[in-house]
Amino acid sequence: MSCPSVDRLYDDLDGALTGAEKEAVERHLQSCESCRRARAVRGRIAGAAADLPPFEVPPDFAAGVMAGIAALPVPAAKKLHPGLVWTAAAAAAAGAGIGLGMILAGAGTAAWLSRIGPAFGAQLRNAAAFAAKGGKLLFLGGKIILGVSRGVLEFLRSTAEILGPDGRAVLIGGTLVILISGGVFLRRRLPVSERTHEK
Amino acid sequence: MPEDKRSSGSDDPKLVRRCLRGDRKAFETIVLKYQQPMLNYVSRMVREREMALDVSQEVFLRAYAALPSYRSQYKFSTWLFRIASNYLIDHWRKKKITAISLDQPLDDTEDGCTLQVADETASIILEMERKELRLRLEKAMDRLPVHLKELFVWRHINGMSYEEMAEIKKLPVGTVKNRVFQAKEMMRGLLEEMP
Repeated sequence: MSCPSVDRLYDDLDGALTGAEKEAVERHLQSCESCRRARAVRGRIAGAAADLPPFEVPPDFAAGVMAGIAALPVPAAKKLHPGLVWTAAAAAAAGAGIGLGMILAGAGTAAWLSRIGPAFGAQLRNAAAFAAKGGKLLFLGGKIILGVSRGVLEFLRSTAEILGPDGRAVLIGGTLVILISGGVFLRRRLPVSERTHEK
Repeated sequence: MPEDKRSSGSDDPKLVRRCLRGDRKAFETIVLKYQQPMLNYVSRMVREREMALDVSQEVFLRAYAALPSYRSQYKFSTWLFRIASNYLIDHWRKKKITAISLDQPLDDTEDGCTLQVADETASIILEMERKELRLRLEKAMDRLPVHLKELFVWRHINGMSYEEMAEIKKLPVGTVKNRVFQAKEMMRGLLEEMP
């Protein structure tokens, strides 16, 4: 065996070599004075470092820390988001309900599912019918909104025709004046802290 | 982990839960459990007894305030030592001081860390030799770059595994092993250079 790497000598000192690896290193060391010395030096340093006496902890150190802690508030554990808690609770309740149902059915999962099959199908049909009705209602609502919008547009168009170009200019100008005055009025009514600072 | 030699950390998550319920006594148990390894580490990093005590105290206070962020799937000790390591990095950055001057003479005066030896049976000569070796070792350690010194202290004084050190520093185990190797070889070189 050629000379082992220094890394391997450290592994040997750390006890990190397998039986066969350690045996090979030991065999080599018996015949290699240089490696023997290299390992001895490193072993002595590691041993001396591990032998360094511990820091002498003052007997009142912990009391000092606790005195500092007394001034601190109790650290609060992070709370879960209420929504998450409710979702988890609902899921747990649903799980418990299903489990209870299975127990009451007194059979295995497959048998239970086949037993509740017809009832589940009826619920599904009801849900589908309800969804269809909801969709129809939405469609009707959309139609009504569209009709009203058309009526408003028609009214504006007829009004504009009656007023003529001058009347339209006066109407637009008047509307702008009202909008700007409203803005200024609202700005004055707002508290100072809510205003944007321009400087 | 030897001596520092922490006891089992399996009850740490329970202690943390008790702390979060307002039981301050539980945190005192944590402090008593980790004060020795913490001070062994911090004292070797800052090399001034009073500063080591102040820094360690601050680390425990920070850990207390940060308890809600502790996750029980990780070892409490590695979480605590990460707080200490980050605190020391911030501390040196703010104070703009290095861990220790490279040329600072090592002495055994009151300002230095008092290291207690309890080996009454050793002969005076042997004791002197051991003391000399310790002093040389401490001196050589102070010459290591801080990032290598920290790993050397954790490995050889706190007795941490490579995996624990990797978890604290959030580095791959291979990188940590490589750095510890560098630290050890640098230590050997420094000790050999000493008269």
